[in-house]
Amino acid sequence: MKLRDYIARRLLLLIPTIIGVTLVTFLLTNLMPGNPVRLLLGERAASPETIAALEAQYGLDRPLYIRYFVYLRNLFMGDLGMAIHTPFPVSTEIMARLPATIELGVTALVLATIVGIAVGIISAVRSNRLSDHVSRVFALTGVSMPVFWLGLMLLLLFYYRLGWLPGMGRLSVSIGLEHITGLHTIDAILTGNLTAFVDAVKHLILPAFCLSWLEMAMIMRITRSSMLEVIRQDYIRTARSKGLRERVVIYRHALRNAMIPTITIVGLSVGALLGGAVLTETVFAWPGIGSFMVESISFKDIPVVLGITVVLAFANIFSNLIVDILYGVLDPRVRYG
Amino acid sequence: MFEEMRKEPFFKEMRYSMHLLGQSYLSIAGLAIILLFVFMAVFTSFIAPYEPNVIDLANTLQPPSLEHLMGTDEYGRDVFSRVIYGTRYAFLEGLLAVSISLTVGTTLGLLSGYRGGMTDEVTMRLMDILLAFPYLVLAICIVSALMKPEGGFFLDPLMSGILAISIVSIPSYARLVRGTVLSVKETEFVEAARANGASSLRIAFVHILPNSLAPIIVEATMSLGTVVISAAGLSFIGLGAQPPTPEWGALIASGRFLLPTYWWCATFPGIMILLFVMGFNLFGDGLRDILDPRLRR
Repeated sequence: MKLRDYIARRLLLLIPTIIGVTLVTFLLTNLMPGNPVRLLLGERAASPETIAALEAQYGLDRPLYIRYFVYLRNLFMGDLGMAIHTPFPVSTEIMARLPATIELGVTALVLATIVGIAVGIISAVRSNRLSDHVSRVFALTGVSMPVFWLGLMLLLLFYYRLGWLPGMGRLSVSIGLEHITGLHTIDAILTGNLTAFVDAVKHLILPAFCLSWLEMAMIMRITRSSMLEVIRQDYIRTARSKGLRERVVIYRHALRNAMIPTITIVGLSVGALLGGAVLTETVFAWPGIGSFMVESISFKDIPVVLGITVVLAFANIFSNLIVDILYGVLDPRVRYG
Repeated sequence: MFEEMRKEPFFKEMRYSMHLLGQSYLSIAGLAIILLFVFMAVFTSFIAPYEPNVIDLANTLQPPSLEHLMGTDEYGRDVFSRVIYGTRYAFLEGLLAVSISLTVGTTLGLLSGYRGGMTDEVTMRLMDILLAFPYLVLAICIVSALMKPEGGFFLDPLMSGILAISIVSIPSYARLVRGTVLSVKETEFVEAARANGASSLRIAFVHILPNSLAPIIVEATMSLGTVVISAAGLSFIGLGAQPPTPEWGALIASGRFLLPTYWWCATFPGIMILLFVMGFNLFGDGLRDILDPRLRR
């Protein structure tokens, strides 16, 4: 199979997944014990006439399958309905907060990938020495620790006790920044605002580190074990016996094959990262869609919760697609599966 | 007769496994941690010096001391006792969620792998859909759909959380079991059973399932920890166990606003989660090395 056909096949496979995902969120809104109109009204009391009028207004008197198609159409036009606890459409609320989540998530993912792979390699090459043991303990605590508790402990130490880093939000109140992309670090660079850049990076350090620890641990573990496996293979022995330098053997010959399982894990961990972002944002009062989701839960604002769920599911599907394609590029055997 | 039994391959295998387990210090450490938590969950009322929910307004927010090993919270409740009682909730969440997702996932995987065709196609697409959602996000979504608009939950909130986590954990079992079934299905002993006239059900459960047990056991052990972290995450944002339940996630949630001065309220429950999950991770890792013959060196 050519790479082009492989990508086309992957894209086609997305269709049933997207239909399924939207069907799940649709059914959760419409079939749950709480009738959607009651949901909209919240705690307000209403006469039967008002309820009937609202049902007609939102098209709830039509059959379920028609409502699903309407929901799907609206979804692809970017219409996720109205939020309950704010006066704006759900999509407006999400778009306003999305850059914050992207900035945090991408930073954490990049941090986890770079550090995870680097430490994984060092750990494998120096297996069973002190540096290996230290990194394995680090990885083990990473996968055993609840991310929200880690966040609180980081706040306690670096913000409350030592005062080295800011603990809440994305930018100090005193600092003004022009809004271009919504990513504060990028905006600061674009406007040449050094003070704002430093401040934004300082705000980013704790939450990004907190969010990345789990992924870092997973990437480290898999890189270490696949590297150890590759190093034992015959072609590595051949490379060494040819008299190649150890650096060349490790980075040119071993690393490329060891990377294949690592890339799978990076892709799979995006889902965990997105879920972790909800908790991390809550702990650090990071104004992204994750903390907004939690805020909406406390207001029982189900349209917002489901809207954010759809957005996060799409982000997850999209990142898995990228990994699948990368996988096909790196390892041609995959394309024939 | 006992001597005869000792020569059986199964017992030889068991003895060898035990021997391997004894060689791995980390899995022994994991097992020790697990047993310690089991002990705490069973003998809770003997270990905990105070009742977990007794309010003592004369002794609020006391720092850790000999009298209150982990201090007291804003109602004067003993944090140590609450944390010990939390062990029971951790096992409840872990065992219940793992057994639900394991039962459903294994059945689906068996059916899917053994029947093949449409059954397989439909089941696996369903699993793909569940996997398309970020794990915790789908769980949050399910629990919040179980909330009543006028406040409260349709189901006990702790149970809603466990149910949600069980649902989102199903695909990993289904996929795992399906994979092993596919590899075992074509072997000669299955063919022999079929030639002997065994029913499909019997072949699936008696001949195929035992051969997929090892990876299932490893997965279940590892996920017992993960499930407890997720359940704690749900209670942290108010979707699982509710205060004053001494569940670890809920304890951290209420201790959160007492930071930085009264740090002990949020710190100790988190350490318990860390140890609990670490125990299952270490033991699961060791189990995998033992049960997977390819890894034996």
